[in-house]
Amino acid sequence: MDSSPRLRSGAVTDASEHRVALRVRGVSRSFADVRALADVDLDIRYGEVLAVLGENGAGKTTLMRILSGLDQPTSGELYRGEERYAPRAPREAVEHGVALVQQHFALVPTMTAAENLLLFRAQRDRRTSREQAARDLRTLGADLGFDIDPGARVGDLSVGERQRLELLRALDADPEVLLLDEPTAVLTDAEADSLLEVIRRLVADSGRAVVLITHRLREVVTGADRVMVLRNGEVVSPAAAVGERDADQLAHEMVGAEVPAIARHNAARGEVLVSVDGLAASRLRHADFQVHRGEILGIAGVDGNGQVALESAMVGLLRPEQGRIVVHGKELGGVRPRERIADGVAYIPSDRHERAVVGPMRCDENLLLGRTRRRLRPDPGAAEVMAAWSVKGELDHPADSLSGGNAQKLVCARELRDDPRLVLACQPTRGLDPGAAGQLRQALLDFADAGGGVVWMSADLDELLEVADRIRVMFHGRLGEAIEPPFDRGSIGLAMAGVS
Amino acid sequence: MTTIDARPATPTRGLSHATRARITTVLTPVASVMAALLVGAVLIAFAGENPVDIYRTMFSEALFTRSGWRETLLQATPLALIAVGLGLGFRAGVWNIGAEGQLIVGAVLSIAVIGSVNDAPGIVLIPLGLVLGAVGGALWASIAGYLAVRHGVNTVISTLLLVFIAEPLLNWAVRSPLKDPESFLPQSRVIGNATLPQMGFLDLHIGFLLVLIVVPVASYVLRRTRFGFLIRAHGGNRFAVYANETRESVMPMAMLVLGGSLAGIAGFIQLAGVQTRVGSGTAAGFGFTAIIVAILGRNDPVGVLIAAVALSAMLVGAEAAQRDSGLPVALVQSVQALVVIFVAAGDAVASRVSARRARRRSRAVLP
Amino acid sequence: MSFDPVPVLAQSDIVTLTFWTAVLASGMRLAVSTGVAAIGEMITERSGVLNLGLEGVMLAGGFAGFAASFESGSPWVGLLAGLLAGAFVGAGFALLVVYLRVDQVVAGLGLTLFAIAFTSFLNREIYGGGTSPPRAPKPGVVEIPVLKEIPLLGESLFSQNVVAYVAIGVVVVIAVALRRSYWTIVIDAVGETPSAADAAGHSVRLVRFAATVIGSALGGLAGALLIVGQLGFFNSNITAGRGWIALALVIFGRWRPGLIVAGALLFGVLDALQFRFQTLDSAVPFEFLIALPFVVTLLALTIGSRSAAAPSALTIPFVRATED
Repeated sequence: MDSSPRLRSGAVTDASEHRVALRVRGVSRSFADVRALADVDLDIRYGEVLAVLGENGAGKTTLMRILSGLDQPTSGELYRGEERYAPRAPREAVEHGVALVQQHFALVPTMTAAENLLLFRAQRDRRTSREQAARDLRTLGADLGFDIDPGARVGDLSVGERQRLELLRALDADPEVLLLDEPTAVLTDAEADSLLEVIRRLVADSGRAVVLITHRLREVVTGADRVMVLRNGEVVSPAAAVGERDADQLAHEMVGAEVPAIARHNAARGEVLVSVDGLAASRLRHADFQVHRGEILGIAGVDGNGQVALESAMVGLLRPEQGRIVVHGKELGGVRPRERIADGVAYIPSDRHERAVVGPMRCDENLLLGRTRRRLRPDPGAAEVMAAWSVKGELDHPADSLSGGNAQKLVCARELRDDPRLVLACQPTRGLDPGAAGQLRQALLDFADAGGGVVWMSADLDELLEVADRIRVMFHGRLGEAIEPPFDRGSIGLAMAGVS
Repeated sequence: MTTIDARPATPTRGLSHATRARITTVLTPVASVMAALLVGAVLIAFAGENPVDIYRTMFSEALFTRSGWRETLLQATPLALIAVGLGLGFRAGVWNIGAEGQLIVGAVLSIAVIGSVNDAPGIVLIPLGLVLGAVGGALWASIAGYLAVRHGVNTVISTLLLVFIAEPLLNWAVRSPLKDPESFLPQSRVIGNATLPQMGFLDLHIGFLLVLIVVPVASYVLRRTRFGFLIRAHGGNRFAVYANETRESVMPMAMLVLGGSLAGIAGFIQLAGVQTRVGSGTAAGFGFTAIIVAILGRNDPVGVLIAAVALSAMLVGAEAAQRDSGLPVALVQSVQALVVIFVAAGDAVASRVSARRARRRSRAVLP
Repeated sequence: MSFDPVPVLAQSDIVTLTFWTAVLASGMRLAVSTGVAAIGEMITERSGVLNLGLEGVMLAGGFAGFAASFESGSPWVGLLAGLLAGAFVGAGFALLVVYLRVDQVVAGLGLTLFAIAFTSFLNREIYGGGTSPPRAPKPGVVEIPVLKEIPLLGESLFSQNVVAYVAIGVVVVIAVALRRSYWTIVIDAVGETPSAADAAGHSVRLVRFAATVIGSALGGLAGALLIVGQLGFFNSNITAGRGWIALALVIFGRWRPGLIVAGALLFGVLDALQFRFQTLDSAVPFEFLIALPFVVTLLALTIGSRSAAAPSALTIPFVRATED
């Protein structure tokens, strides 16, 4: 790799050496009465990687959307060079040499890689044939050392390959400023490292400006020249050379003091609650595990390795092709949802909007989902439960009116309300702000302390390292051996990448 | 998803959420009917008639004469029965637009069986006919249910295709196996002892009583029972129902069977209360008009009853206008179809306004 | 379903070449209209809009086509009028479902119900709507001298009326254009992953509006083809379910032009066959034969419905994440 160590050392990152590519001045963005971004100042410079560090809800994505024309600031100005820059759409941003790689892929899974490239080409390039697009994709890929088959259906590509395709597509417009929104969120550690390497090379070779949005400190330290920290939409610390920053202090600035540390005293492991033997269904090839009372089993894995099939099979939405799920001596495979709930198995699905909440129904009715009696009666405890979980919302308003964090709290409130034996928690804190995520983690830990069992699936290894009693890694539809504490982050990370 | 937590929701300005929702629920259909009538007035003028005169004829015939009321309530009976079932289905997100076919099969099945045991008394035959009608309609609808559940076939298309199958089968039945040997026309024997008795000062058949039972029962079920909860939840987010309440097949099948049964019962009631025989005109478009009734009545049993009376009054008035001035009934049918479009458009606009208001009130959710 | 004048046949005729030649020729005629409608609906659906008003669009096109050709004396004016009427109705529908985000099922049903009643009203007002309706001018038949003598296929391929050839031309041009065009990528992206198309700078709503208008224009043309090219008269609800069959063909054909055309031909031949069998004095009641095409369509739906070929965003209105 030929990235310049000079840049990373921080020794030569004197601001005056790099021309400013994009200037952000006093940018704010409000939604209704909420300020997502407050008065942000920032200089993005050529020839360096600038990291924007922050938790979920810190305003990073809002900033990216404004820079790339997907959203417009409520107040404040942007300058590209000396000129005023106010893109109304991504296309305009691209015309000004600013391209975005979004956190959620903007790819069409049913089309080929080359067709996806073509889709994004500007008007004047529309006559380009699919063949030409395929050639261009190969050339672009070769420059960066990627090998992507232009004729492959995007839906058949791995997550890592899709991320690379996104990057190539952004580079197809030959932008001067490249915005990357959590590019490593769905990657394994190894994939993330190689992507960061490529980004460094891009900067070193062509002098582009790169903005890297992330919540991972590791990436800031290894991949960025300067770092700015956002919290609650405000700049906590302005952009400064990474080498001059202390990692612990960055972490503190990112998280703030509002999140209480998680408290747990380990309950003794009790009898077996659930035992899964040789389970296979759809993309899940093989899973064997047991969960005991008082235990949190962490299932780590990058998305797309069969987790959805596992959760669906465990709640009866997917019929097992092989194997058994036994809860308290009772077979659970293919059982009706109501029976599962009656047997004390609660479910916090990875896709709460699809599986856990009926958006147009009132909040109090959503508390009844899966728990209805033959005759509906007003639920006197509903208000109390909502208050106990500090769900910000009205009982008689539709669940649609809740924010993501509050909707998830509502789901947890319901699932933990009638004292289940086992909770199947799938990516329970994904997308939540730190406060809500902390509250949820604590609730599940308390539940385990009180003798409940938890299966906790997460793509966030740091989270599992914090909460799990044992961790098993899921890769290509198979569940690896149990890993007992003390956990070795490196080896678990490798296992998530398929290296055992 | 990035979420921005806001301060606690500010108190609602003015009316409460529920009240405001209730007002739009009622206001949209009323405004839609008005708008459609206005368009109708233009069409009447186009046809060379005076809209004021025509509307005066229509409303005075339908609402200010005894025979008009009788006719209105007679037509509202099958419409309301069918539309209650369809409306519950629509509420659950299960489309059934083939009530016309389900009505036909219900009527054919009941005449086929009752025709062969004709000497039994009405007290036996009428309940039997109701059951047979329900079974026939339910069976026919369950074909679409089976195709949807097993093969994922869109029920909008399958239920409608089944109408095009039921119609020729009806024509065959009254031409061949069920034909009245004493008639030159292709029609069945008369229903005989199963004829519905008449009642009250309007001489309505007792089928109308059934409407007065079905509507409150359906209303109660929808609001106060688990089944009603499942209907509403399935319509809001079916996947949440499959993950927490029932298997995937249950609700689509249940809604189609329910809608089919009520359509089949309506078939028997038309047969035993009005037409006395089954012929090629048995369905008379009630199955399709009921779709409009359900949508105009907001898929709510009580709303459906009101909409059924309103739409059949319009039809009765239109028939009078056709007699008086030769204005085609098709014009009023056009107006009724416009009502559907206007209601849907009004809902779309209202829901956007209220979403905007809700967002202003609470918090922002970003992707 | 069919309105072709058919000579009475004897049982023994079934095995003859002439019988099958005639069945194929008439099947081809029947396939033309449904095929064009289905191809149009395919374009609409691939952009993510389900137009359940197709039956109504066909009726509107059919009536406009009839009126225009009757008044002008030219079948071509009729076809153009059908096309325009379809586009006009489609634009109204698209306005409702794409921009106002009205429920597509309700709007589509409303459109069909409205068109059935409204064309019937207009027909009565203008042309009396009686049992012996006025006739539109018949388009000429193009016969290609030698080729039409080819056994079995000759008559169906080389002795059709002019408008049928136009329709076949339209279908072929669209099928070829769709294979190579940049716009196929855009339409598919809009119907599959609208957020991606939006990020790429395409207006999701504009593409959907255009696809709906184009699809409906073809639906209107299909209606005009049926009336002007085939039947020669208009009557209340004369499409008799063809729009619904076209909708089913799109599913059966998995949103691909080749399969849809094949399905339309298959259906046309079946329809022609059942109609010819009706004239045979067979043991099967003719009503069963009338129902047969619909039964087959229903069965065909079980093949296509579970396929992953359906556009993922079908019937889902597009809302950008930051807007209301």
